[in-house]
Amino acid sequence: MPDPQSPPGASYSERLQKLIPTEVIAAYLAIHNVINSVDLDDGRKIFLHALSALILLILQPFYQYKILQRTYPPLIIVSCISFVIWAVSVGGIMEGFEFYLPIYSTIAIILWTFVIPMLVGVE
Amino acid sequence: MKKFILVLLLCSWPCLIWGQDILSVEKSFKKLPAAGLFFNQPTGSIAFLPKVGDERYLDWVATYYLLPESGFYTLHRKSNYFFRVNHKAKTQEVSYLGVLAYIIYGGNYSHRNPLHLTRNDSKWLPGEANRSLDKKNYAYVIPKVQVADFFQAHQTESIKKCDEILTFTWHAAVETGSPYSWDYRSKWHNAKPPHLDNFLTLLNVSPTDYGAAITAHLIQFSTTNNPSKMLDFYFNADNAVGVYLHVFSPLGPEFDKEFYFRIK
Repeated sequence: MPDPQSPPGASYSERLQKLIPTEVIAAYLAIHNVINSVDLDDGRKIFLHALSALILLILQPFYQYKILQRTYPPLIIVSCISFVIWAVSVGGIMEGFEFYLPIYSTIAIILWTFVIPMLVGVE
Repeated sequence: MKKFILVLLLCSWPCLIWGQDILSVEKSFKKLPAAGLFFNQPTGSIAFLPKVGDERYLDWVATYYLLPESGFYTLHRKSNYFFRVNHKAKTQEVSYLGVLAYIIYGGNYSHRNPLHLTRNDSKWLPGEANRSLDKKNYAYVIPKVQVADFFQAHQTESIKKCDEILTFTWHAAVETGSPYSWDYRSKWHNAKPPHLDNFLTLLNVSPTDYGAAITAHLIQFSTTNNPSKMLDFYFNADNAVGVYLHVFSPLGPEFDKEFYFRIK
């Protein structure tokens, strides 16, 4: 799929920068640190982490469209998926589930970061 | 004969060392930052849940302080101390978990009742004919009896006498009829802190001037391959300086643990 904002000639790292929403991840990291700095029950922390991640996920397409002026839908969808993987990897959302191990998100983030520039923006 | 005595001495040496060392070496928790890591531990593993202060949040626990083995540990001061037992196993078996927390207070602390007994909300059977269980008994029941009465009740030979001393019908059998907690009364009788004097010294509490209270739980559970229903228990140790915790299950020795907790 050709990406009008990421021409075929763009380097791997340039494409990666566009596909990983660093500003939104930075916002989530800041919230994550605030939540973790308070002595709360795990249950409340998980709820706050999940809620803030959800709000950022909903806001992200608007941020991409309005502020970064990205209109190419696959790019927005991929960056939303990137955010979810990063947010889970940072921690605080999935740790309460019995089936989840932190190593899963570490593997997922490595594979996703490796794969996405090949999926989007390459003719 | 000499050889026999020598072998006997050599064999008893670890036991002597254990008795002395259990309180002289403080053990450390193994911190596990995800529920999945706890359920990867062997069946019967126990973890303290430091980030739970309320029963409402027991479904969402991410921080586990695994207690790798019986021994002496230090807990930070709080009101309710929550614990989780790993009951994940390949086969499904119904049994119960026996929990006794012997809570120690400095001075003659008397702001709480000496005995708190609970049975969890499961299908319990009376265990014997002509005996009935009050359905309300699964709730927090606080009989007006003393700590010594609890141990004395488990020295008696009849369940009727035990019921009389405890003032209600606490012992029960699980839904399959067996195990029956009264059949394991020696476990309860022996659940006294074996190194109480040394423990009191360690806590800087005078053996002649301390208060004690017991929280005892009968928790029916089933081992499972998919632990959606957790096996948890807690005790309240407001103002306490130490707790001796004894946990066991007729299911197997892997559940049998004893801990000395210093609270500070």
